[in-house]
Order: sequence, then structure tokens, then C-alpha cells
Amino acid sequence: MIVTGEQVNRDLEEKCQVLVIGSGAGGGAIAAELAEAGVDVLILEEGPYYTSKDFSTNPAKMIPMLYRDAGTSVIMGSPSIIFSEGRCVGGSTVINGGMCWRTPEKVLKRWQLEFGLNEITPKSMEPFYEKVEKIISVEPQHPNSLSKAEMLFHQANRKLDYLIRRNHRNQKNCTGEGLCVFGCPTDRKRSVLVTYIPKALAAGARLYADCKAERLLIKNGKAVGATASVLNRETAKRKHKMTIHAELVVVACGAIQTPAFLLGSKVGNSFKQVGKNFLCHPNTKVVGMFDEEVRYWAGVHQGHQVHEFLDEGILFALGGVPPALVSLSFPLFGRKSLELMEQWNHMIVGGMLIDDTTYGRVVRLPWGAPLAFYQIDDVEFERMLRGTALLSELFFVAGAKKVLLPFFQLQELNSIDEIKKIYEYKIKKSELELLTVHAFGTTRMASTPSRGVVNQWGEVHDCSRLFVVDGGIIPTSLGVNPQETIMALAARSGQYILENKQKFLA
Amino acid sequence: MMKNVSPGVERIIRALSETIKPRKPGFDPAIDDYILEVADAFIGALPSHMKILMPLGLRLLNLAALVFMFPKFRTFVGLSPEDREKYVLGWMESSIALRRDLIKGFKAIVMTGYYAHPEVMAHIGYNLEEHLKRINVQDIETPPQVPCSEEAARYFSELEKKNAWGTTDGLPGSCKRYFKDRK
Repeated sequence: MIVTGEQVNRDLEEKCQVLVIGSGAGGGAIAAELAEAGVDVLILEEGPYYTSKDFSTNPAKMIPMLYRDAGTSVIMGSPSIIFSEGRCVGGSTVINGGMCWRTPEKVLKRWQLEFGLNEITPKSMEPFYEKVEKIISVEPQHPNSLSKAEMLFHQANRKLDYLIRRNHRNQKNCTGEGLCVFGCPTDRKRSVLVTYIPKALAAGARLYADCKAERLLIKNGKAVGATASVLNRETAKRKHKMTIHAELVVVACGAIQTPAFLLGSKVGNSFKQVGKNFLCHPNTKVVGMFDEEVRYWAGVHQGHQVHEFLDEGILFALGGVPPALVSLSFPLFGRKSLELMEQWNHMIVGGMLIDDTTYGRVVRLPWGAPLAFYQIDDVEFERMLRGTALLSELFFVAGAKKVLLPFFQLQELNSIDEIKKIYEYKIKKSELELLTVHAFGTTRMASTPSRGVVNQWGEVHDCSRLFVVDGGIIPTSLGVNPQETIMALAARSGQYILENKQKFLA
Repeated sequence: MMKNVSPGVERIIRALSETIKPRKPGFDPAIDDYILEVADAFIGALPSHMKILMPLGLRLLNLAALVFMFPKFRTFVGLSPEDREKYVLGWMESSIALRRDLIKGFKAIVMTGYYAHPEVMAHIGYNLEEHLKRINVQDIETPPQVPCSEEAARYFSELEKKNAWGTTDGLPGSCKRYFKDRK
């Protein structure tokens, strides 16, 4: 059953066994896991419920519809980082690029050593990865779905003997529309919206969309439910109240929203860890300009990823983004912007993801909204420069005549010999153009409460019957796209709850 | 008329949009009202604190021209198009992050609207609808029948036949390379 805000015309009071707050990668996965085992699950989602019938190719329509704050969320710092997050049923899985990677082994090893998460091993996680990959259909792309740009990029990587991998994506017979970031209009991208949510609903779960959780209800140190506001979808203002009584609560609002929610509920923060340890995989873009038409947009987003430099904390891929987002990468406007974008079919946009080496923080503002802070450090800055140099080299080897850079002082390179200018110019950190779609760490897992907010199962240390299963529980940077890790951890937490039903569910 | 801002702020937005909007002699589509509609929708979707801060920021931008464009003694709205361009460039290149971020945020809204307009998409050769119509000829249960690029499809199909496209399993990072095994 799905109830949307417009269907609600009075205050509501509901009861369930498990309340899941958030319907994204973590919330969707755990809701389905529990509902299919016969648990009475109620899912609260702040954002609206849309299906692929509502999706269009117009970013001016889709961004305000699907993205939190119409895509204007910013992580404060110098430079600031634009943060894109989904705010709809299915969460960020509706607007992400669909990449699915298992957690790198070296990352799991680090979790064991630094955070005492000894039971989270590649072997113990294997069944959960397999389950997730089956449900969301993780497959590499068909040759017909790839653009000419992917071919040129692949050839350049082979020439330089770089490790380039076929991207694993949650997709079913993807044809290469390149519209992942605006909601797949054909459901070929298998987001939580079209996989876990229907599974949960078919098993009897109830979903309330346009309902924003306001505060947890705590009694004798146990989570017993939450209060929420039923929102008017158009104005996002509250129209009715909702109270949900539950035997167990799972919070899955994302690494930025969850800390604000916990802090507002005055829960989970006995050791002052909530909101700390924020990590975000800063990204930036480089554009190769070619004489021939390459039409990089006519094909799937990120058909491959370059893993040659993962050990250095750098990952590359081609990014399928629309002209508006490409135009923002450059400090141009007016005539100069148009003259650049008239070469749209001669461009290839490459992105790099940097492994974090510092931590930021998420705080809760007086009116309840979160605010994230992150200041890239010198190591990350060096990685940005190195990543830019390497990606520029790849583009020149692929046949680019010019490469456009994300630096104000150095905007273009005209030959492979000019790459060294990246190191010769005094490029300032503050003038980088950065963005990200990943967020972790703010309610991280750790065996000892002084080092984290939740234990290895996502259970909050200082509040019983309260779990967190979103990106916030991931204690370190992953270096790869996180949705599969989040879903696998959520499925694992779900299984733990089921194995301990006596303890958690009356 | 914009619904989510006052008439005064609307005038500033209009002037800013006219300055930022990509155009050149020979191509200047009359889509300013459309861009303002897009801006209105975005502003309506902003969080509450931004709905207060953004208009304040815009008013500051308007008035600060009296200082930064001295001795012109004009607000931003009153400047000539050439002077508006110089002024906006000053904000984009400013060493003060808040100045850069305000212009960046507004530029994002204008560019999103501009490059999503069918006339502009056609002008830059972004024939997306044609691409979608061409490739989506089968149902979801059938593998893609029409290649996005004939050349790319041939290239990757060849690699796949030779088992040389690359590994499709295993963990990211440290894994078997498809050219040489790591011992």
C-alpha cells in the first residue's frame, strides 16, 4: 500500500513492528528483507512518490522534482562542494548513475583493524552481495548501449595499459539512453524504486510518501516510534501530523539527513560521534575536445571505470551529464559559454572520484536542517591535480585536440606536452569546481561506542531497538560507488534482526 | 511574473539572467521568460533558509554595484549590458567564496533552463529525443537491438568474442588484469 501526502486529510496514528525512515538504498533493502519474512513494516519517505511515467528528459523539470533542494545542496568549504541527493521514493538510487561495486577487500580489512568490525569480511558479505546483485540486476553493459566516446576512452586506456573495467550497473537490457540522473524513463535502471520497494509492498509493507520524520519517540532507552509531518507536495509545508508506534525503528535518511534527525531527537550521541567523520568522495570533471563528432551523450553513463589508480585514491569514468551541467564546469557565461557548448557533439566529459583523506562534519541548524562542512586537504588536492593530469593524458591519447580543466587559473591544455602546466601554475584549492553524490561516515560503525555511533549490525550503541542503515554507517571512504555496499549492509542488518526476533520484535 | 520572489528581486533576476544567458549575434532565442519560469520553479523548491538568503544575496549583488562599479553610481539593474558583464565576472572571480557561490548558484539555474530549451538543444546538436526514439525499439526483456554507435558496438562486440573486453566479475581495484595476471 502506498499513501501519498495528497491522500491524507487528517492527522494519522499508525502502528507497525518495524518503522523504516527513508526509502533509498538502505531503507528499501531492509524494508524488503523484513517484509518478505512476514514482519509488519511501515516505510516513511519525506520525498514524493513518482514512477517512470512521471520522468521526462527535461532537467529543468526533473531536478526540482527528484533532487533535494532542487540540486542546490552545498557542502561548505573552500571550495564548496555541490552535493546531489535524491528526495523521492527510491532516494538517490533514482538519480544515481547505477554503478554497483562490492566493497574493496582492502577497505574491509581496514574496518576490521581500525573499527573492530571483525565479522564483516569478504566471505561473510558474499551472500549479501550475491543477493543484492540478483535483486537489482547487476550486469555489465551490452555493446549496443555504449557511445563512441566509450570506445575512444577504452582504446586510450589500452594504449597506456591502464586497468579499465566494464562497469557493473544495476540495469536490465539498458539501451544507453544516458538519462540515469533524471530517473530512468524505461525502468531499465533497476533502482530501489523498481526493485526493493515493489518487493516490500508485495510482501505487505506500507509506504507513506510526502511524510517527513520529525522526531524519534524514545521510552526507557528504547526507540518506540516516531512523529512525522505529512507534507503538501507543492509547498513542502506540513498539512497534518503523524505518529507511528513501532517495536523497532530503522533510520535510513542518508549520511547528511540522519545525523540531523538523531541530534534533533537527542539520541545516539552519548560519545559525540553523530555528525562527525563525514566523508564525501570529492569529484571533478575534465573535458576533452575532439575534431570528430564523438556524441558522448549518446550512450550509457559510465560504461567503464578506470581502476588503475584506485590504490592512489583516484578513479576515472566518463560521465553522462546534460549540457547544462557541463556548462557549469567552466567559469564562462554569455557568448563564451555558447561558443563552447556549440561544440557539444565534439566533447567527452570525464570525471574523477577522489578517495577521502580528511574528515568533515555535519551539524544541525536551529531549525532542524543539516549543514555539512568539508575542507579538502593537501593530499586530496594533490590527487585532484594528479587525476586531472592523468585524465588529460588519456584524452590526448584518445585523440583530443584540447582539454578543458576545472581550474580558474588554467582553463585549457592544447597538447600532451602542456600537462606539466598543471603543476607549474599556482592553482588554488579554493578555485576548484567540485561536486559529489556520495556521503558516508556520520553515524559510522565501530565495535566501541567511543569510535562510532552504531555497532557492526547498524544498531545504535546507546539506544536499543534503533538501527541506522544508510551511507552514514560506512566508517571509511570506499573509493568506489557505494550503493551495493549500503544495500548489502542493510540486508545483513535485516537478517540479524530476523535471527534475533525474540529480542527485537515481540 | 514570478510567484516565489518579490517584483524587486524579479527585476534583479531578470537582469542577471540577461547577462549570464549564453547568446551571440545570429543566435539569441527569445526564451528569457522561459528561463525566469525555470528560476521561479527552482526558487520555489529551495529550503526555507535559502528562500530568505537568496533574495538577500541578490539585493546585495544589486546594491554592491554602487561600490564595485564606482564611479558609475548605478545599481546592477541600472548598468549597461557591458558593465553588467564586467560586474558579474568580478563576482565569479572574487576571492570571497560567498560571492562566487551566489553567482555560481544563479548561473546553475539559468544554464539548466537555457540548455534544456528545445531551440537551444537543437542549435547545439543535442538531438536527444531522436536518439531515444531510435534506440528504444524493444521491451525491457530484450537486449538492446539498435547500437548507440555502430563503431563502438563493433569494437566492443569484437573484444567480447575474443574474451578481451575485460573481467566482469570480482572486486574492484586489485583483480585480474585482462592483459596479464598479477602473481
